[in-house]
Amino acid sequence: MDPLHQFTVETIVPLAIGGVDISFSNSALWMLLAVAAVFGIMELGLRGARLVPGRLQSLIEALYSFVVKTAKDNAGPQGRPFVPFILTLFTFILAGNLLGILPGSFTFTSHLVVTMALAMLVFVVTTAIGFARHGMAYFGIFFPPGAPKWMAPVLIPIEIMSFVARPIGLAVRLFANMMAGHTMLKVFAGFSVMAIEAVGLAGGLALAIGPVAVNVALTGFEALVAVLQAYVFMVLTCLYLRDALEMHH
Amino acid sequence: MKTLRTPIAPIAAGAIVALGAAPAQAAGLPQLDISTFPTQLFWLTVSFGLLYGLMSRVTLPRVDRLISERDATVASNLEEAERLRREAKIMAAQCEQRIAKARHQAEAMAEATHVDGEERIRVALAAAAARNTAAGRASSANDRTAALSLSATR
Repeated sequence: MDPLHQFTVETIVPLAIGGVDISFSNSALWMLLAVAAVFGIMELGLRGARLVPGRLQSLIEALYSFVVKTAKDNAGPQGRPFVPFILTLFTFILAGNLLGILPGSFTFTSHLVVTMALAMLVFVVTTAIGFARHGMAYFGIFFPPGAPKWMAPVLIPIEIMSFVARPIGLAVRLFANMMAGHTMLKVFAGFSVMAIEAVGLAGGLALAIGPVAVNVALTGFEALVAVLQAYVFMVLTCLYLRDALEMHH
Repeated sequence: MKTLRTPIAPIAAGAIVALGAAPAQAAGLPQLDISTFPTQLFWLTVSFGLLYGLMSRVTLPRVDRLISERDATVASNLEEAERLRREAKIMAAQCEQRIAKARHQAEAMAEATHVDGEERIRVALAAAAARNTAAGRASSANDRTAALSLSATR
């Protein structure tokens, strides 16, 4: 009945390399399931791909075009080569969020380590691209163009702080949304069980309908949040990428 | 940077605080259990890397090829249609020209036939008239001789 129990990482197959525990856990299982789901649906849709697409093929082409367009709109025309990276991020997070709604599943995006690792990946990749493209001039992003020179002592620390806060915001936003939603689901599910325990089966079932109805609505809301948060992660990644590619735009 | 917020975040914060205050069976939040970090990071690297490899090497090039092939087909079909349209236009113009020419010829022929027919009718009429006149003259001459001879016998 602990609503946080769902977040426990449970070992399935114990594994260790050089004394470091890398056991295959429920988290690892659902990560691989997310990969399998994304790749499987893609391949299924592209099997016997035709010039005039079928339903699933249209869906996959629409998803691809959507990511290409999002990258173009937010990362600029130079963002085109990064579409595979952006699409992988989007679909991986989306699959993780959506699969996490299934009862009994594990939501790997509800763990701050995971979202922080993804956010750091984005941070490191975009920063590396920035320095690769612009060299030392990339430090210029810490000073907005056109601002008066004497503002530098104020602006530069603020800009540095907002730059460093990027991965933290990215990671916490996804983690908090996923964890909160899933906790809510389990809390309301717990109310149903409590009602039956308190009043007995007959009266308890009648009482339990309320929390069940709330849970139905919450599940729908969770699906929305799952898609929205994956999208937000993708869009912000694109925006950071644009900063790296074009500096001031 | 704008922060995107969903209304669930404050509720969640409340829920987490409330749950944290409640007697927890486990030792705190599972998310804060550092001992699970290495395995999560390891499998995240594996699965994300795997998905990136599959997407960038296998799936997306196919989707890309598919879409560009379709675009090329549509473009070439449009071009072909445009070419055929132009050809049809030229052919229509040629037909128009030939019809006009044929009409011209027909008119000329009709005119010629008309003139010719009139001429022949005139000739025929003249001939007939001449014939009639001659015959009339002959018959009236006969009549006269007949009359004369009749009166002579009386």
